[in-house]
Parts: sequence; structure tokens; C-alpha cells
Amino acid sequence: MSEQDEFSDQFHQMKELLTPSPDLVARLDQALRADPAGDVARPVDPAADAPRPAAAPQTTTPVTARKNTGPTRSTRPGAHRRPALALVAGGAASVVLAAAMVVGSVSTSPWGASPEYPIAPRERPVLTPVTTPVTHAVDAGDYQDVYRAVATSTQSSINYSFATRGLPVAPAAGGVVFAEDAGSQTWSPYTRTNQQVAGVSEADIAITDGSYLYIAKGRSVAVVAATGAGTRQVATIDTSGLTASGEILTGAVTDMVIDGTTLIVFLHGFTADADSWSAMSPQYISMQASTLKAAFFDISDPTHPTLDSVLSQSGTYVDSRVYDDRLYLISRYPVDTTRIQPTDPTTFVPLVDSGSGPVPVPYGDIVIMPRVDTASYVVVTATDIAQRSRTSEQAVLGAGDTVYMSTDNLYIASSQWWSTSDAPTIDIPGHGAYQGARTDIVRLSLNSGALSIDAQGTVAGTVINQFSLDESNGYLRVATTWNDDMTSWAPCAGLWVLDSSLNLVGSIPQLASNESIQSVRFTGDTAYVVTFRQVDPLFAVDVSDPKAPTVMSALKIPGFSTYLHPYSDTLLLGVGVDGDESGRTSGLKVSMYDVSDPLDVTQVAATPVAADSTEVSQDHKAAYVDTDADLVGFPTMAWSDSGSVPEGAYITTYTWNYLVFAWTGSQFTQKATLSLYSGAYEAAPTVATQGVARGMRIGDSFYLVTADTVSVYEMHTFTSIATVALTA
Amino acid sequence: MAMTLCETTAVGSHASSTTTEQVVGRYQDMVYAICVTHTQNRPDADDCFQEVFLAYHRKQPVCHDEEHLKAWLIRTSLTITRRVSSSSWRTRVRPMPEVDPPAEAFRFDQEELDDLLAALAGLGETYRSVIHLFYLEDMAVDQIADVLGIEPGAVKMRLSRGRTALREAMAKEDAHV
Repeated sequence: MSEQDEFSDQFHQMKELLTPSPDLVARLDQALRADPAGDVARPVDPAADAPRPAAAPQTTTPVTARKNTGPTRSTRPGAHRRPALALVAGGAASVVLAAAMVVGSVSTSPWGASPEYPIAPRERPVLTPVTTPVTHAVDAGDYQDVYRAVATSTQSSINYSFATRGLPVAPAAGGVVFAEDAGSQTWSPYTRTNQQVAGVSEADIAITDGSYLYIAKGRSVAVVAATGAGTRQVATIDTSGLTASGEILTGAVTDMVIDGTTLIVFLHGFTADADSWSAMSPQYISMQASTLKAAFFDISDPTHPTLDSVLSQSGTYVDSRVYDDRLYLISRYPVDTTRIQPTDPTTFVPLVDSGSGPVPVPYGDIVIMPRVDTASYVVVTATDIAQRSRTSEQAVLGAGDTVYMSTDNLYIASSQWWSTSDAPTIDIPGHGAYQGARTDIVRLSLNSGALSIDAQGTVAGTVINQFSLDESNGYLRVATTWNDDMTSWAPCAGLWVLDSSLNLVGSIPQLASNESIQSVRFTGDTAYVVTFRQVDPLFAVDVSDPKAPTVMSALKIPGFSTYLHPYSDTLLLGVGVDGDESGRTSGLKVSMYDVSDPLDVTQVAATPVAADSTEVSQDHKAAYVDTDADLVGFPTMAWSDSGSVPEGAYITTYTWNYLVFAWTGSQFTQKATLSLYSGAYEAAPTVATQGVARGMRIGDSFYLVTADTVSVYEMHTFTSIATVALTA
Repeated sequence: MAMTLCETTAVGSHASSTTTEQVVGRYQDMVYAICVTHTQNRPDADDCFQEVFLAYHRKQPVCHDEEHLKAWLIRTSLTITRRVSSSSWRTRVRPMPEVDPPAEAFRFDQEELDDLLAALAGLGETYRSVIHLFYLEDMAVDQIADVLGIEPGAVKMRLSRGRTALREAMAKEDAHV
């Protein structure tokens, strides 16, 4: 079609190589199966009594495990038939269905490989066993143990390592820049960064100490005196000068946390990839984030923040927590296996700089996971914030990146989507031996800053985020979605209780079958789990007896919550996706559940929100939940296509808003729609484009913060009282 | 009257059978290629790839024919890569052109293809999308114009300028090596 020129061959060659890996397609397959939205459009024979016709195994497999899910089962009669019924009911979808049936060539397999267009090889990839399979994590006896484990890892770490895209905004210009002027120090009730565990602080990109806002803006932190109508920027912290020896520049501020009068800023040091130099255009330097830095600033006078010290560790930022005046910082460090040298630990062991230069983590502080698929470490350090001194460090080779921290323990969970022939076999009560997707968990005791890795275990299935884990009285409760691909592709929601050695002591293997977990929240001895297939069962599970968790109730309502937040002792807030009885999803919704009687959870209010997505689904820190003022806020994004082909221009319109709802005690009323941006993407200002915004209240003022602007509103009327453009 | 590309509310007939799995089967390579050339790194490309098909799955656009379905997927891929390649406030910093590709640059095992991808990355999206559709998808100027909603003349101009820029970038590369 196109005429040939000097680029044609190379581009065609490139095109041949650009195919998604089987693993990626399989993950998409999983995601699509887990995603209920499209169910309605799938052709299913409505006459068939058995629900998902061509996938007979799905319907027959897991019956044995239903024994202890009595309550669940009884609340979901006929759930299996819903897909077929839903098809007829779903307005728009019925058209698709009709067409599909007429065409006839369509496979009746729901999301199975169609004969015409096989999606993915369904065979489970077999990876060569790497080391003598061991069932438990082992402490490294010396660096040679570590080296062997790194050298024999099966996959290149580059494909799977944590990606950090924090890149600089401006040429380096060192030092800390101060602005004049001091604000009056006042205290009033304010919004803290949304955290999972009371007392355990989490970091964010816009935070407040109740008087000042600290806002990440590229490589700077803007300090803003939050004084209502008089709000103004009083200082700028420039972190661009924090490069260490060998680093070319620093990246964007990744996260921040305040403890007392200390502001801790997390950012990365970038080094050039020497090998890539000649391979890239001369104007390119391939940069990699190699070192995670924690910069400690004294903010006892917020208008004059002063840099006290910088501690660093290999890798990129995973997460952080502050508890009891100690910082726990977690990074992920993929080893460049092409450069490892058996005699040089610095080439295969993460480095930690505690103030006197980078040194390899001692082998005594390294634990090797049973299977090291990827030569990648998780590095955890503990730091006494007041002393600015590191108190311990631990590195786990082969661990993942979901972090949950209670006041006693830090857990690192890594979910493996794929089963492998040498994967550990998990015995699922009522189901039998299982080798499917799993989550490996490591427990580190905090010991007031003297970290030690004390246990390692595995549960079936994958976790969705940190809220999938919760500890109480020494027991860890984990909610996962698992599926046994040996027998069925239908996902199951399971709940597992582990003791302090991370051995399974109790479980509900099939809280729901053919359903995927969408959100989880533990409050005390109750677990709330939202799964979804057609309608939204909100399960309340009694986990007070670790050996015998039991389902107390299952509320079915359309749509599903992607974030759950305990609003009060008797109310649970849900933010998520709206839907109708047929399982067709549309827009978002915010809902409130009455959980005063966990045996009879009811939805007391639900308000549809016209938007396609909210950052809250991915990041709980984007949620503003203010139970004092009875306000709930979050950013939303909507995009719509308009225009026509071929005559007219084709336009995608993006609308980012920050929505605030008031909770009246019985319903939500929309308090404010604060526009962040609307229009074509191309014309959007750089910062507004992503709609990443944080809302927080200090006293009687509501602050809507983006990296560009702080907008201040009177909190009762939401009338604008000040707008401050931030400068870097 | 102009035919609307794809409607997210169902109207009219459905010319081609489009269960999501079939759409994935037919277009996974096309979408993945766009994701790679427009993010240049594997983790982002993987994320975008998933997001494109999830968007299809959720919106279930009713496309009147195969060309429109393809166009919808191309546009959505471009939209999503745009969003992801500069996603999140944490990372929302304009990459300096001279220090571009991010930590996880996508690599072929052939240096000349790496160079070409790098050169393509250096073009800027305006030219990149046109070059991509022309060379990798073998689309004609008129088709590209339809899909991107721009004039055929603009496509030709972008193609020509894009080629020139590619040549320059590759020449510099050769000189450097």
C-alpha cells in the first residue's frame, strides 16, 4: 500500500517483533475475566440452563469447596444464571447479542479462545527450575549464596522491575531556595493523608501539618501557608542539588511525609546507562533511577526549611511508613544481571548509604526467597527520624511490592500471576492441591526499628492492594482472588488467616466463586470484601476466630466499590463503579452502607457520579474523607468521543473535576464540582491533564491542591476565597 | 451525513461480531505496537495494552464496520499512551528531550531497530503517530487522515517532515557510532 523507502524494511521488521508476550496476553485475559463490564455483550445461549455454556468446567469444578460457604451460597441463589438473563435485559447489549447470534460463527465460549482468533496460548509456561527447590526462604550464609541466587534467576529483571518515570523538569541548580516572610502559626483541625492503619502515617505528594501545605512540584516542594483567604506560598525547596557522586541528576519528588518538625522528601538519583550511550542518538542519555533518597528537612520554621541529611538505598521507591517516630522505607532494586561479578558484592547486592557512603547490605541481613524468578530485591530500612540515623536494614531477594504495615510488623506481598511447574503446591481446604497464581508474603518484625525477617509464607491467589492484608492479634488476614487454571478459569474470592509463622490456620476458600475481588477493608474483627460479576456482593466476614472465619452477610447491589472506607462505627463508605441489575456498568457511584448489624448490612444511600474513572480506585490517598465536616471528595475523569468520519474532525474531550459530597446522615448531596480541566488533551496545561488533585480541609477552609495551583474555598458554601499559583 | 466512528451507546446494527476476545485476537499486535512506539518502555506499554482492551470491554463501542473498530482502537491507544506516558503527578514532569527515555526503555536485540525506535521517540507525538500508522500499519494517507481526524494534506506534511527528522536522527546516530 505505501511506497517503499529506506525505512520500510526496518519498520516492518520492528512490527514483526512487536507482539505482546503470552504472559501479557494472559494477564489481559485474566483482567478481562475479572472485569464484569463486558459480560452483557458476550454471546451466551439464553436458553441454556447451565450458565456459561462452552465453559462447562467452570460451572462444575469448585463445588467441593462450597461446604463452608453456606451463607454465601444461600444468599446467591441462581447467581449462575444471571449472565444469560442479563443479556436479554441489558438494553444496549441485546443489540450486540442479537447480531452476534445471527452471525453464528461466534464462539459461545465466554471469554474463551475463539476458533478463529485464538487469543493466547493457554498452556502454562514452563520455566526451568532454577535452584534446588526449597520450600522456605533462606538466610544468606554468605555473599556467594546470594550471588548464586541472582545468577540463576530465570527472568531478566528489566521486564518486571518497578518503573519510575520521575524525570527532571529543569537543569540542576543546587541548594535550597528560601522565600521571605513567615506565616502566623495557628492550629486547627485538618485533614491528614488518608492512611490504612491508625497511627501509621503514609506519604503523599501533597501533605499538611495543619498550618502549611507541602506540595510536590517536579523537583521542588512548594511550601504554602494555609491561612484561608491569605493563603500564599512562603518557601520553595529545590531538591535538584541532591545528587550523589556518580549521579547525573535527581528525579521528581516522589512522595513526602511529615513527622513532628521533620519533612522527609523521597526522590531518586539518576545515573547514565553507559552502555546505551552509543546505541542511542547523541542527544540521548539513557537514564535510570538507581538510588532512592530520603532527604530530611527541618521545618520547625516552615518558611525556612533546612536540609539536615540525606540517606539513600539502592532501587526505586515502593512505599514508606512512619510510626513511632521511625521511618520505614521500602525500595525495589532490580539487579543488572549482565554485570554481576562473583567477587564484587556491590554488583549484585543492594547498597545502603547511612551517612558514610554506600555499602552493600551485609549478607546476614539478606534473605533469599524460595523461588527467585526475577533478580530483584526489596530493600527495607528503618531510620530514627529525630536522630536522622539508620537503625537497621533488610533485603529480600525475590520479593514483591505490595506493602502493608501494622504497628508491629511490616508485610511485603508479591503476587505471581502465573503458575510454574516447580511452584510450591498449596493445599486449599476443600479444593486440594493448587499450583495457580499465588502471593508470597514476608513478615518483618519492626522491633522498634531493629528490623528482622521473621516469617515467610504463601497463599493462593493474588492481592489487589495493601488493603487486602490486615493484622490483628498476631494473625494476618489476606483476601485474594485465585483460580485454578488446571481445572477452571473461573476466579474465586478467598479469605485466608495466617498465624505469625504465616501458616494457614483458617480460611474461606470460596467466599464467592466466579467472582473477583474489587476492594477489601478490614475493621477490627470484620472483613468487608466486595466482589463483582453481575451485581456487587458486599460480604461482611467475621474474622474474630482465626480458625473459623464466617460470612455474616452478603449484600447484593448493582455496581461495585473499588474503595471502602470506614466512615464511622456504623457506616462504611464505598466509592466505585455504578451499574444496573444486569451487571452493565456505567459511570461511578458513591455509596454508604449501614454496617451496625454485620448480619444485615444495608445500603443507605448511593449517588451516581457521571465520570469514567477516579484516582481513588488506584490510590486511596486521593480520597478526602472528612467525618468531622461530613464531607467526601475525590477527583474524577471523564472522556468522550465526538465528531465524525470522514468529514468532520474527531475530538476527544477530557473532563477532570474534583467532586465534593456532603453526607447528611441519610444521603449524599453534591456540594461542589470544582473543575480541574475540560477540553482537548493537547491543549491541557501539563499539570491539569492528569487530574491528580488532593483535597484537604484546614479549619474552615477547603484546599484543592494540584501541582500548579492551590485553590481555597470556604468550606460551608464552597465559594472561592483564594487561588495561589505555585512556583517551583 | 457523516458516519459516527463508534458509538458507545448502541444504535444500529452490528456489522461484525465483536466479542472482546475476538477483538483482542485480531488487534493485539496492532495495539501493542502502538503502545511500544508511543511509550518506549515495556512496563508502560504493557499497562496501556491492557487498558486499551479494558476500555473496549467496558465501553463496548458499537462500530459499524471493521475499519471503524480499528480506528476506535487506534485512537484509544493513542489517547491512553498519551495519558500513561505522563501519568500521575509523581511523574508528571516534562522529560527533558536530552535525557529522555525512562528507566525501562524498550529494547530490541538489534541495535539498528533500537536506534530507529529512539529516533521515532524523538519525533514528538504529532509525527510519531503518523509515521507509525504509515509504516507499521501500512495505512494509506487517506485512512490515516480519517483515523486521526486531520486533513490528508496534514498527514502528508507530517509524513514528509517526520521522515526528514528520522533521517537526520539516524544520520547523527551513524556519525556517532
